[in-house]
Amino acid sequence: MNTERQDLAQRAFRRRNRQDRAAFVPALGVMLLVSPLLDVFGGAGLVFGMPVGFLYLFLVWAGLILLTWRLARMLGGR
Amino acid sequence: MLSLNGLIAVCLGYSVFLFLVAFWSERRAARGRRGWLSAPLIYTLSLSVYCTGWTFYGAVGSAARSGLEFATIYLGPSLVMFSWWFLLRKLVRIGREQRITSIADLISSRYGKSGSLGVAVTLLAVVGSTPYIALQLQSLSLSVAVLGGETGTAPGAAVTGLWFAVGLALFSILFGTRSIDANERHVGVVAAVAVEAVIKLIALIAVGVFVVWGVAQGPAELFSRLPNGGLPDAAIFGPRWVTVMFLSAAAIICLPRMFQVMVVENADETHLATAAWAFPAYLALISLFVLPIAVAGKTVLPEGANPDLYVLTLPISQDRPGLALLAFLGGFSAATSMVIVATIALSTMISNHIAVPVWLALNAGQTQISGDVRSVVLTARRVSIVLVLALGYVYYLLTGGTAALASIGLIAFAGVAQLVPALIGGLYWRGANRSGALAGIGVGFALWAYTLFLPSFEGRFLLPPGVLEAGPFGIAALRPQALFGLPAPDPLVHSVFWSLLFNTAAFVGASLLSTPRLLERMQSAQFVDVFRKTSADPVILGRSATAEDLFTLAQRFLGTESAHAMFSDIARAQGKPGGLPEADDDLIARVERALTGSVGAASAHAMVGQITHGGQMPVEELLQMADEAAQIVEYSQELETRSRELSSTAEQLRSANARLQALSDQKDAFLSQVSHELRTPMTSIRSFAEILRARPELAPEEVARFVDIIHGEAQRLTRLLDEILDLSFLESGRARLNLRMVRLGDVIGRAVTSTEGLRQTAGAAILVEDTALDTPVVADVDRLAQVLINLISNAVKYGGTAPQIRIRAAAGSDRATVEVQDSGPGIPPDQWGRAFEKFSRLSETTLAGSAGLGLPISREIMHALGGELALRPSDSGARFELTLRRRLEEVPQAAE
Repeated sequence: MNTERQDLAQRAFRRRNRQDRAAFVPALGVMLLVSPLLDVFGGAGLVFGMPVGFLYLFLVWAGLILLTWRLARMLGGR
Repeated sequence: MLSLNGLIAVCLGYSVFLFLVAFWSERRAARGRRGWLSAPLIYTLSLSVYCTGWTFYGAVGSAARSGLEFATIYLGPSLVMFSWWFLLRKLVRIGREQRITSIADLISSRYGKSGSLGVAVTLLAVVGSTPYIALQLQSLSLSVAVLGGETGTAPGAAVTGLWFAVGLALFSILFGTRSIDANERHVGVVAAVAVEAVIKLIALIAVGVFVVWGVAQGPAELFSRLPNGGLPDAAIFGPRWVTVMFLSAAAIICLPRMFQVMVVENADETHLATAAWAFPAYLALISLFVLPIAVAGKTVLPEGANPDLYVLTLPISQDRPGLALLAFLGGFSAATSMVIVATIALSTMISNHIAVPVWLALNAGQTQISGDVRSVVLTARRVSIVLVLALGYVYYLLTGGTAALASIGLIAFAGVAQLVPALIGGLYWRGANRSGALAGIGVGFALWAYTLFLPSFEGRFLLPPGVLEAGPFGIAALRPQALFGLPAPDPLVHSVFWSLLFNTAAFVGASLLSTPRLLERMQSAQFVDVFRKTSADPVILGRSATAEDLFTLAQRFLGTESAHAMFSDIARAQGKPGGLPEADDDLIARVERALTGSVGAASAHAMVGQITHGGQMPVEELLQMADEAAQIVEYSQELETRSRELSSTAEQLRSANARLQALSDQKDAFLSQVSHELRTPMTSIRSFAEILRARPELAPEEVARFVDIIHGEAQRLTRLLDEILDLSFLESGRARLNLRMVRLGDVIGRAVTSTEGLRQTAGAAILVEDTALDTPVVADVDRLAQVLINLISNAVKYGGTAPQIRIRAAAGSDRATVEVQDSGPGIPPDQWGRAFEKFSRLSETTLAGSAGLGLPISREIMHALGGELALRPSDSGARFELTLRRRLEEVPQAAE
């Protein structure tokens, strides 16, 4: 009984935590993509033969997609 | 190289293929076998109507001109998709629960099913989408010109554009307006759009792969061809970056076609969980090769080649006609899917928010006339589609395809972005209301048109070049592209800043300053708290509708079969075996909901309102009724309080009256007793006096006897009057008492001495027991003696022959008692109360000198002394008991 209740509380907490993370992803995206950070990481020059800004954008983009994919699987859309 | 005829054949063949896909999907869906048609993947792919011909061709052009800025067009929507959990999910949930048919419907419904807002948003959407459709026609014409131009047989761009416009109108009409679906979904169109999404992705990736590994030797080699990888040296982040990012983020929810595929065509909320990451992934893939293609175009193609067409010209220059054709089909897909979905969405909005209300107004009061309204709606939609495409074509002709593709697209984005404050505010802020939304959208729309849309014609439409240069009437502060003299390097940033600033300010300000109607307040709760409630309780309108009227109405919009199914369903739920259901609130609400799915919330509300003879009125009525009810409750509560007060007052009055009545009775009785008591001695005095006067010859001893009698009676009369006076003084509390500590034995001795004569006459014996005679008590000696004398006289009078009188004193802790007992017949307990009444003689025998006031007077005296006089039960004779206080301070002040 008691452990069950603890389990429920734990699950409610985890779910809320995931929702918070889901809300955090776009905020993170704005911080990384719509801020002067762009000019810090996306300056001139080539890395692996590709422009740094180009790499930075697509890596951040891919990271955000992966994060959302994981959270969406956990939240299940309901 | 392809001939123009070959190109036309490919286009037609591809179109037929799309027709077949759409047709087959609709057939499948109609048979209830949606299967993969309603899979999250299809939903995700259908969202790609975002990537239009502009995206397909223009993004490369943008990358060639200004580097990474093209990515913002995709990053903005990606960020919105990432916020699916708290933004898109809410939007989709509301869309389903409120049966939203378009962005105009959403905003109109949110702000109290407002018709005017629906019209405003529809106009904004049409004006904002027109350049966009023109853009697609332009990209199609350009691509045909490029591919067909090689052979020199390409017709003029205007002719190509016209043909495309006609073909697109045909497809939209065929699949977009075949029927009015209860929830406004177009399975066929969505399936075709999904197929096109795959084609354009494949096409762009194919060109990209070819460029990177076919033309160049891998990305490193490609980027090394230009300094800094082909990117400009300027900082990436800046006002324009933020502006374009914001506009594209706004576009994905505000553009009519995006709203159509994302909210209206959504079959299942859980699809969002897939689209949230899959659509950004699609966007990332489609933009991955944009920069490499731009770099390749700049290095491979001759100077002056149009960067907007690199996607086509690169394969052609490398002599790859197959790849060029694929690229062309990609662009074709992108442009056609956008135009089809956009025209369907716009036609829904035009028919629901403009055509149907106008038709309703024209046919006001005639809704009972039978006739298929569906055909009216469908015709309105078909005409709208043609109209929208015609507008787009005219715009295309006007601008002449001079401006770069991307800038036209951004003008459209900036237009629909004017909906953002009203939309987001409507989703999260309960206080947002209709006035605010109207003010915000109106101001934003006007400023957008003035600072961005009209200047885009470069002086050919409405705004002459002079005004653009110097401002209207030469007022420099009002120059369309430099409002208030703000130095604006970029007209887009300038326009977005000012229009959204004033838009938001007007929206918030007007919302705060105006009071929403009841329906607005209810709708705001339904929208903002959409996740908090379990079922939607729509506003119930008046009840004067009949089931027949409602059936006729539903039939005309849903078709006979659907309406029949719905009504029998409700009838069964009401427990009726057949026929029409009762026209209860539930039925009215369901009909309104069903109609909302077809013609939008505002029109459905108006139509059902017309049938129920209510319109907006019943809501006001409801409010008024609620007010009245509240007033009645308050009033009745007040009445109840009042009546309680009244009844208690009445009760008090009644008892007071009863007391007064009793007193009055007592007084009457007293007066009659007094007059009777006075009359007796007066009669005897008068009669003896008459005898003395009439008979002077009477013997002197006779005379002396008569005079004695007269004297005695006069004395008795005086005593009686004294007693009455005394009693009246005592009762009114005006008797003056001389209270002090008195030895009990002294008072008793004095009373015994005073009554000696009386006792001897009656032959009475008295015995004073020698107990507690030394006890000091609080008393007025004369008054206490009077009481004792009275009691002894009574004992003498009523004690029978040779009465035995016994007096006994006792001392308690704070009280002392004196008992006076006689040996007479006693007083029966039921007469004890009467014994102390005035003039009540317990027996008829009256001894001269007593007026029957002795006991009442004695009792009053005892009360005044702070004691008591009472009858006590005894074995023989009457036993009176006096109670006296032993402490002076306890004497009540009332004795004064």
